[in-house]
Amino acid sequence: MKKLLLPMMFVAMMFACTSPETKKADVSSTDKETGTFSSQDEKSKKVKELIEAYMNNDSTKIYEYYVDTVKIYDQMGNRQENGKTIASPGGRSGFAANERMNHDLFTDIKLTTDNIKSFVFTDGRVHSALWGMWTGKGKYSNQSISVPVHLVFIWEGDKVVREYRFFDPTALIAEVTASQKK
Amino acid sequence: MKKLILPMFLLATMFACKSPESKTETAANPEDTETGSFVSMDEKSAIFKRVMEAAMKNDTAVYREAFADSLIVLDGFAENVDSLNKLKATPEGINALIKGDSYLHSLYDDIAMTTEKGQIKTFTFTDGRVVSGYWGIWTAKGKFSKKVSRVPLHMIGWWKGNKVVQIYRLFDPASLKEEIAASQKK
Repeated sequence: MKKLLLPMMFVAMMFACTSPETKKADVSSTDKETGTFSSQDEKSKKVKELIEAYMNNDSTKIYEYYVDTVKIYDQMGNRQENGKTIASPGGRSGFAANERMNHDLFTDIKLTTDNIKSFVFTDGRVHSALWGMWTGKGKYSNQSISVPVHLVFIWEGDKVVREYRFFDPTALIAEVTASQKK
Repeated sequence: MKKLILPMFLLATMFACKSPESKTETAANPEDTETGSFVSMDEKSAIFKRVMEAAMKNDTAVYREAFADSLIVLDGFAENVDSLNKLKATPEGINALIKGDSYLHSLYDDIAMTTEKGQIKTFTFTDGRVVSGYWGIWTAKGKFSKKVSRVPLHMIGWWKGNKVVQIYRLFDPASLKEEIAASQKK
């Protein structure tokens, strides 16, 4: 009986070491698109800093958090090649110039930051995303506009290497047109 | 020495039972209520995919299976935002969604949506909420303009049990407006 004690304890410990079952999304072992998400992590905070700086027409955070070769994909219609959206030209400096141009066209620019999340894939990829409402007042049209926006940031280390932006550009295009008439 | 073997063995297994420290990119914050996990090969992602395949075929029966009768439809167009900067729900919910998606087939041929690996994911929040999301490209050929349209599309569906109760769609509506205008000229 004494000889059995040690093997039995060993088996008992093995079972004790098994993690308790928790309620999670069904995970298939062949699913490579799995992971966890949170909203109060460092990368979500950086996204919030980027947006707050943008609202203040401050490009410094862009230079701090984006690689100089960042690719910005504005998810507009008919800007696709081989099934993928074409990146806007100019990398980081082109993006910073575009963001500043928003302030040439609009005053009181705001973008809500209460829905930012970061997603850590099982294979180590990290994406952040924002769902929000952009508001501004056209300097030329004098119209106040509100546009739902969804942004996705692809991180490599502590830098954003790609950004995807979904929004209805109708009001932005209208303001550009109004600015060219004056 | 023999007396020490058992306590040492116990101590060793106790340490062995602790999870290895993993370096995660997003450190868990106990105050964070917006946390959870996501997958792409689950039943809800599969239902989302079936709805999109049905939309391509103008098969609205699948909509009734997947969506609640009281479905709230939020289309993220600038013109749908109210004075409080909130998105207005489309009146008539599921009926408007079915009517709208069917109408697309009177405007376009060859409606397709990409459903590549990872483009549909389902997110389960720690508090039990479940949402599915889609990031892909919608393509079709205009019946009136004869132009091929390619439009990036993002959708989020909120689940209650086995039904989607709210859906949010975001896309550039320019080519749709053009096709509607072309259809009205003919």
